[in-house]
Amino acid sequence: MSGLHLARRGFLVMSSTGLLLGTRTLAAATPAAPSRKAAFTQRFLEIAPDGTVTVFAKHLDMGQGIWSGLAAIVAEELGARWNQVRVVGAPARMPDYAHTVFGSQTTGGSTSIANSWDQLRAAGATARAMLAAAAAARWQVPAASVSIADGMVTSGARSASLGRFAAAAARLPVPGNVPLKDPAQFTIVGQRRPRLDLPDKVRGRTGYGLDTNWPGIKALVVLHPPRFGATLIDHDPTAALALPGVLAVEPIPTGLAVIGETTWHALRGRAALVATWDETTAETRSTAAIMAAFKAQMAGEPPTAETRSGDAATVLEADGSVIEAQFEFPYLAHVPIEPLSVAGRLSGGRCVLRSGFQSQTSNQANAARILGLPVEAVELETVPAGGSFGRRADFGPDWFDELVYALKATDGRWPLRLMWSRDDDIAGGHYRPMTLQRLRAVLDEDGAIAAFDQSIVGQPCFPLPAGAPKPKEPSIGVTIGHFADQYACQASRLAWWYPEVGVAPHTYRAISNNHNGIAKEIFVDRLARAAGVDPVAYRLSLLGHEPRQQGVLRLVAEKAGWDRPLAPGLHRGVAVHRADDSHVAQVVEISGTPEHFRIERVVCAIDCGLVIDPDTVLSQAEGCIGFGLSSALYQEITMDASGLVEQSNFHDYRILRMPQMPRRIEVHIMPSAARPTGVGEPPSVPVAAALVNALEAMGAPPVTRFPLIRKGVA
Amino acid sequence: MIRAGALLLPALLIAGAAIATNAPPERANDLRSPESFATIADPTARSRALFGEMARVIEHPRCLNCHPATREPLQRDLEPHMPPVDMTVQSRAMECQTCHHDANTPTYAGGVASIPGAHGWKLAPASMAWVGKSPRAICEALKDPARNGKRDLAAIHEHMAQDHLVGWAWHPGGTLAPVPGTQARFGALVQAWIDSGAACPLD
Repeated sequence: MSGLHLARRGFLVMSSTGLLLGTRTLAAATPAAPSRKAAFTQRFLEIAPDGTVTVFAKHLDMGQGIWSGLAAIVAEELGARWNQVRVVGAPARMPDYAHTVFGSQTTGGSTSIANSWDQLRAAGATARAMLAAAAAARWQVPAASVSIADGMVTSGARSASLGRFAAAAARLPVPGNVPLKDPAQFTIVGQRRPRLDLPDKVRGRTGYGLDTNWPGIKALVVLHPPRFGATLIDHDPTAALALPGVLAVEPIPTGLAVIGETTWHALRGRAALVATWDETTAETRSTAAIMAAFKAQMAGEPPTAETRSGDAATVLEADGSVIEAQFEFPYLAHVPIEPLSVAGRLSGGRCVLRSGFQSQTSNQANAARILGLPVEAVELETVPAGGSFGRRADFGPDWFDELVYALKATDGRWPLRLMWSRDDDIAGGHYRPMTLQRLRAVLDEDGAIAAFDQSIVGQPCFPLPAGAPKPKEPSIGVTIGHFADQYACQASRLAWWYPEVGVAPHTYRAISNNHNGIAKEIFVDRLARAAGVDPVAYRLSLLGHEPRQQGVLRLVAEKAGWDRPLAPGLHRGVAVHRADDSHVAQVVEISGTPEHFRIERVVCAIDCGLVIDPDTVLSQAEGCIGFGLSSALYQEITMDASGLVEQSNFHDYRILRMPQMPRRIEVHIMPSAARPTGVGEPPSVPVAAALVNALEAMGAPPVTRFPLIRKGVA
Repeated sequence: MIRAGALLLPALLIAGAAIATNAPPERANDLRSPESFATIADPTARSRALFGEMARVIEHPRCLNCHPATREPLQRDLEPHMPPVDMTVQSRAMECQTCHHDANTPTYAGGVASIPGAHGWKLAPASMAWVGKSPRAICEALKDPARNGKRDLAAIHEHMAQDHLVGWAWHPGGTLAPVPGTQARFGALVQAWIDSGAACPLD
């Protein structure tokens, strides 16, 4: 792994050295030279005289391929040649790089393409218009006769690389309201293309935050209290500081920062620390006790907030045939494969931070506040991240703040690179909240839902600020994807209880769709059985107002051969869900027995509007399916009777391995001209429910809790 | 395949312990001495009882983990080895010794305090698969030259009493529970079992 030396305009040089390789084929053996100084620079792109187009991506690429996707939008409207396109992370700068819906520079909700679509098309089209005008002036031809495609500017018999006109275009006024391409003319968007980050990732050259190797950089690890919410009373660093290579030990708000020559030195120093903690306000309950408290709260207290449509309560109380289900969802850790890491240096009143930042505005503001610097003095270099699943978003004091506190405590004496080890990560809180779900329904004589009630106990995944008053409406951090939001109910109630728990919640892939969607899709299957109706047909009958959900449901049923009997020994289940304005339906087929089964096939149908790159949709669908199965089958964070987290690494917080992956995954993309919507999260939702529906069709007892497989339990 | 069923194996450990005879050891982690079995007059019965004491080592997870029923080693308390290892597919691709070196390696990780190690770390051959077998079946397999690596009884004693990989079980490192007693005591029990006719348990 080559060291990445950061020069003054380090982030562009580093990124360009790293990412320029992305434009080469795998056959190329020599590293590329840094790109020449750009001749044409705008907010989202710059063009070099040699025709290299660099796109500034305001969002984080955490492996979901968004940098290639955003670049494709710009390249399409610009008329660039794909193998001359590079991507770097945009600086942290508002309002230039704001998420057009969320309002700050941040990535999440599978909205990167959706919120950037118009903006980047305009950026590419504007640059194209300016280049065409420059060419028209140079060639003395009408501007309307100039076209740009595949990196070449053409008018009649004349053509030249678009780089040739970059400098001249930069001197022209910027036009407004430039017409956009007709999507029927797209040659880049909608096509399979080699992703720009692939060659570097294959060669191990991608510079992740964890790879930062500035001259003189030291390693930083943090000793956290063993229980959530505990604070440091006292510590003795003597033994740690006596070890070779241990440079400093500094108290910071979340624990003790240990700085060493290398990560190994720092870890060794941390292991030698003596610390005492004040646990009077710590969370010392077990997760079993916390769930028991949830049940008591639901049964014994009025909800914190509820919404009603019609009067479901009367029907539910009057009717003797209430169908009811209860589900327990555990705390989940995201475990992105690149450990949480951030590097930083502080000198001369300026701070530079480097990581896969998911919430740049917030990260930058926090750093500035901690250091007492103006926001403009904090520079963020956003590099690709090795996975996130929501973990790298900023919700309260977290690892990136720890690095800044350590820089402050040491007065910027050394550049530092902080890493949370896998153990630190799994035991570190910031989990998908534990959630208790109870669903109840009464059907009318046609099988339609006459009354429906959903009761949820759980922390919102967007943490409420400390001391904030209890919400008056169910928090969106708990309700996104709930049953009555998608299925037709003649009357419904959604009730939510806010629990006091000392475990930090966090956004996790698909936000609250990841429990609402699963509960919904298992429950609706049971309603279908009660109504004596086929599960696909039953869902269709409740989705008359959601034609795009009906569309993917019909597509998946067709592709899975739902109307044909299964081969002997196979069972199947179906699930459908809308998340982030995309629509996904999945069928899971299994063989074996409920105690010993194999997932033979998953068929997935997805409607995400206009597709930027079908390969990305396929890979996200496959990854989401593996991710959703991992959590449903194996994963839970448990705390023992004293509040200690029991899991620590991938041996006891398992992820799906190759032998357990479905034997076949088939993904079908619904052709659509609708506005593009996201694919990073939606396909992770239905698969767990479709699997449970298949297991229950196979004769497994009704599922009531996740994960499905627990150590020592049948 | 996804195994969702309960683990059957801990039940076998309990069955093995039930064979141990009347007088309990001084401490739960001690092995009884061969002399303490002298009260059993009949040599065959004494032999079976001695094997029962040997079984407290043989059927302990430190030993059973590398004598699995399939070609997948186990770890800790007969749990799936993580990262997953299947020697039917990996025997040429990845040596055990890639991660398991000549000595126990302490880590700075919270949940895995040490990576076990001893020279020549490897899985027992398939013919020596013991997990899921009754004590009688293990005993018979142990004595069968076709399955025990062509060993006679003297060679079996030497293996149990002297082999360093067997000896690792008494010094597993980290937070792993060692097998009871000492290798010297275990070797003495094996010798006494051989001397009394090397009889196998009835079940």
